[in-house]
Amino acid sequence: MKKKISIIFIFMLVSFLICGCSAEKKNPDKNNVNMASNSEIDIGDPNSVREVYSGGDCVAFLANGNDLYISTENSDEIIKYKDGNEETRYSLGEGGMHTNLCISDNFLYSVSYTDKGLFLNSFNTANNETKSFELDHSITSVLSMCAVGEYVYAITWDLDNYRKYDVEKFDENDDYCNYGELIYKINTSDGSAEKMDIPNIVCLAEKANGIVVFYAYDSEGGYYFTEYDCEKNKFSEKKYNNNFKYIFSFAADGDTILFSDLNNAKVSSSGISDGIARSDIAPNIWAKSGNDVQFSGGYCYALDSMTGNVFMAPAVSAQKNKAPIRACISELFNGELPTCGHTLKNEHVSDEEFCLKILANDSDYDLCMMQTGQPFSIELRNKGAFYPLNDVPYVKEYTDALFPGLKKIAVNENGDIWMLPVSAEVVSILYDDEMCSKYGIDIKSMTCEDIYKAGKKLYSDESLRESFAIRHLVCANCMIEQYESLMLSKGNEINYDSDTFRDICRILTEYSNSDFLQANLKNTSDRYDSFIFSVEAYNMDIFSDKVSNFNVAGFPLICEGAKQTGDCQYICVNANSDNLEGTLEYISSYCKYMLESKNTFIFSDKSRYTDIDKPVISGLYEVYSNADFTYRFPREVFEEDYIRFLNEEISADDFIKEINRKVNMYLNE
Amino acid sequence: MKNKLLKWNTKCKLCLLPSLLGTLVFFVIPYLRVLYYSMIDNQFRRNFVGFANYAKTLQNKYFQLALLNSLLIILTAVPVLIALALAVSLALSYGIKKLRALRTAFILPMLIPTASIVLIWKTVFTGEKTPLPIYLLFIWKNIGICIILLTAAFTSIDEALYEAARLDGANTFQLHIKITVPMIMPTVFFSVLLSIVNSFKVFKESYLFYGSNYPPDHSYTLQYYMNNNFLKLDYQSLATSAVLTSIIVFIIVIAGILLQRKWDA
Repeated sequence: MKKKISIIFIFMLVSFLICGCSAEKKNPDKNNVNMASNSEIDIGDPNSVREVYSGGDCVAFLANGNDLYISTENSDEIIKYKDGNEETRYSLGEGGMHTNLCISDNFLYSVSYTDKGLFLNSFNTANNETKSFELDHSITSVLSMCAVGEYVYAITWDLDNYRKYDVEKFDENDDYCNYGELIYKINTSDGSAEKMDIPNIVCLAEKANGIVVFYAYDSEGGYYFTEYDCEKNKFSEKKYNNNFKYIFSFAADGDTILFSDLNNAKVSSSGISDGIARSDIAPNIWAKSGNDVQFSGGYCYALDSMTGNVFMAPAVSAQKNKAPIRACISELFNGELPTCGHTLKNEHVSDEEFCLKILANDSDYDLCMMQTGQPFSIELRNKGAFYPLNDVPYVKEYTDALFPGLKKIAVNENGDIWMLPVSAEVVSILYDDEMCSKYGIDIKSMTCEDIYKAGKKLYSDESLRESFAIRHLVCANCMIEQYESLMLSKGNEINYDSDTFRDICRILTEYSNSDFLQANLKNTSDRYDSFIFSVEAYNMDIFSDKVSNFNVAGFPLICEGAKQTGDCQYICVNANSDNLEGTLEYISSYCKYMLESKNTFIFSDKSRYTDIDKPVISGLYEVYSNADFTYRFPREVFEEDYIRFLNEEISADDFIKEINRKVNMYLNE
Repeated sequence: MKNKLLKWNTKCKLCLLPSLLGTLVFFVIPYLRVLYYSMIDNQFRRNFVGFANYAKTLQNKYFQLALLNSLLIILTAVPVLIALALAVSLALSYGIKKLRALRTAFILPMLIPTASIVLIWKTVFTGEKTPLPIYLLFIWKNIGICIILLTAAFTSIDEALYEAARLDGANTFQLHIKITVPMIMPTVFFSVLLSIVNSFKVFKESYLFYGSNYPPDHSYTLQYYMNNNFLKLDYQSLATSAVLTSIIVFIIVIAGILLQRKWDA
C-alpha cells in the first residue's frame, strides 16, 4: 500500500514538474536588447524626402533619370531640368496647359487642354519635331497615361457625360465606383485610337521592358493587376489583390508598387502580390492624379497636389534587409502607423482573437495596437504582458513630451513604460462664438443640461436644424465616464447613489427621445456656413481653414472635481516577438519621427502646433492637456439595465441599485 | 500458473493504458497546470507567489458570496431533490401501477435543452426575487437520474429476503427499516454525492435565466465567479477558485465515502 502511495506521489510530482517547467519563464531582462548601437535611423523618415521642385505651381511632371520635366499651371510650356538646373523649355502642340507627361524612346508626350479640344502632343527631342493629334470629342479628360514604343496608353473619361455607372461588385463593401473610364491605345504616328478591352479600369503604370501594368476591377475577384506585353499584344493572368482598394496613382518596379494612399496622404510601397506589408516612402503627400507617382532610377517621385511641388525619396532602401514588423491590431483601431523606414504588416483581428494571441504568448506578432476603451486594456497593463520600453532610445523623450494624462497611463504600477500612445480623442464642443452669442448660447459656462436646452431652442427654428449637432450617445458616455473617473480616482469602488448621478439619469431620460437630437450638420462642403456648435468625439476638419475662426471648449463637467475624459490608442511591443530587435528599432524610429512631427494632439509642447494662435487649435489644446485618459470597464456589465432605464421599464432607483451592485462586483471580484 | 497470471495482469494493465493516458492528458496534467497558475503572479512574469493568490481569493467578499450560494444549493435543493426522488422511486417500484406508465416522463427533463426550459421558466417566474426558480430548475433537471438510480436500487432487492423476514415475523415497518433502507443506502449516498457535484455545475440555467454575468446576489455562484474572472483575463483568480472548488468537492466526496463505510460497518 505504501509502495503504491509513493508511486502515485512520484508520478504526480513528475507531472507537476513537466507542466510547470514546460513554458520557459520569460524574464524581460534576459531578452533586453542593447539599443545603444542601433539608434541611427534615417531611412524613410521625412528627412530623406527631398523637394526637387518647389515652385508651388506644378500640375504635371515627368522624372526620367537625372531629367525632370515640369508643366505649370497657366503656362503652355514644359520646362526640362537637368541635375536641378533649368535646361530647356518646350512649346508643344496647340498650346494650353500640359498634363500626363510621359516619355518613350526620344519622344516626350503630353495632353493639352485647349479651346479647340483635347490634344495629344509629341515632341521628338532628337530633332525637335512636334506633332499634335486632336483626341476624339468623347474624350474630355485623361486620368493617367504612359507611352511604350509608338503607342500611348491613356485612361480617359467623358467629363461632359460624367455619371456613376452601376457595376456588379465582388464584395458589396468594395469601394470601387465606375464613372465611365475607358482605356485607349493611341498610335502616335497617325493619332488613331482604339479602345482596349479592360472594363472597370482604375489606373495604369509603365514597367520596364515594354510592359504596361493595368489595375482594374471585376466582379469575379475584385481589384486585380494585369500586365500587358506591348510587343506581343498579350495580357498576363489577372493577379487579384483587394488590399490596395482604389488607387489614384501608382508606379511599378518588378513586383514592387509605389502608390498614392490618399486615406493617409502619403506615398507607400508594397508588393503587387502582397499589399499588406507596406513601407512609407513619402508621408504628407497628396498625389491624386494618375501620373503623380513615378519611379525612376531607384527613386520615387511624387507631385503633391496641395502644394504644387514635386518630391523625391528613395524607393528601394535598407527596408529590403529588414524583416517586416507584424502588427496585431484590434478591429476598433482604424489608423495606420507611419512605417519610418520599416515595412509594416498589419493584421486586424477581433477582440477575442486579440486577447488569445496575447495570453498565449504567441511569437508571431511584434506589436499590438489597442485603445483604452477596450476593457482588457487595463488587465493586460497590470500583467506585464509587454516589453518594457524604458531603455529604448527616444522613448523617454517621447513619453516626457506627452500630455500629463497620457504620460500617466503609459506607465504601469512598476514604473515600466509599457505602451506608447499614438493618438487620443477627447469629446469637445466646436462652436462659432458669434453665432452662439447671437442665439444666446454661452458655451464656456454651459452645464451638461444646458447643451440639451440649447439644442431644443435651436431646433424650434427650422432654418437652424443643419447648424448644430448633439450626439446623445456621446454626451451620455461623456457624463457617465466623467463620473466613473471621478469615483475611481478616490478608490476601487464606485457609488452611483449620489445626487450627481441621479441628475445625470434625469437628463438622460428627459432628453433621450427628443427631436432635436436628429439635427445634424450638412454633409456638404458648405456645412460650416451657418454653423453654431457641435458636440463631437473627433472632428476631421479641425485643421481646415473653414473652422479656423471657430472655438473649441471641453464637454461641460458634471460636478466640481470632475475632469474631461478621453480615449487613447496605443501600441505595445510583444516581449515574445521573434523579431524583438527590429521591433525596438522601429519603436525608436517611430518616437524620433513623432517627436519631429507637428500637429499631433498627444504632445504638450505648444510649439509643436503650427496654428496654436488660432482659437480652434488653442482651445483643443487646452481640452487635451487637461483631460484624463482612463481605462474603462465594459458597458455590457450594466447595459441591459441602462436600456431598460432609458425605456422607462425600471425606475432610476432600481437602475442605480443594479448598476451599483454590478459595477462594484465587476471591479472587485 | 503464476506466469499465466502475470501475463494476464500485464494484458489488463495494457488495456487500461489508453484510458489512463487520456485521464493523464485531459485531466491530471491540466489540473496540475491550473495548480501551477494558481501559484504564480501572472502568466507573463511567472513569479512564484506561494499561497498569496489563495489568501486573496478567500478574503474576496464576492468569492465568499459565491461559495455561500453554492453551499446553500447543497443544503436546500439537494435534500429536497433526494426526498422527491425517493418518493417517486418508491411509488414507481411499489405503488400505483398507472404511475409506472409515466416513468418516461421523469426522464424527459434530462433530454430537453436547458435553453428551452429556461424560456418557459422565465415566463412562469417573472419578477421573482428569490433563487427559487434556479433551485426548482436544478431539482427538475436532476430528478430523472436520481429516480433511475433509486428505482434500480429498489427493484434489485431480492424478494426472497422479504419472504424470509416475513416468515421470521417481521412487520412491514421492520421489513423496510431492516432490509429496504440498508439495501438502498449505497445508492442513496451515490445519488446525494452526484447531486452535490451537479449543484456545483449550476451555471448555464442561471445564466440563461438572468441573462447577465452579474445575476442577483442570491444566485451568484462559484461558476459565475470563475467565468467572470476568465472574461476579465484574471487567470490567477480563476485558477485559484477552481482549485478551491475542487478541494471542497473532494472533501465532500471523501466525507460521503467515509460516512457510507461507517454506515456499512
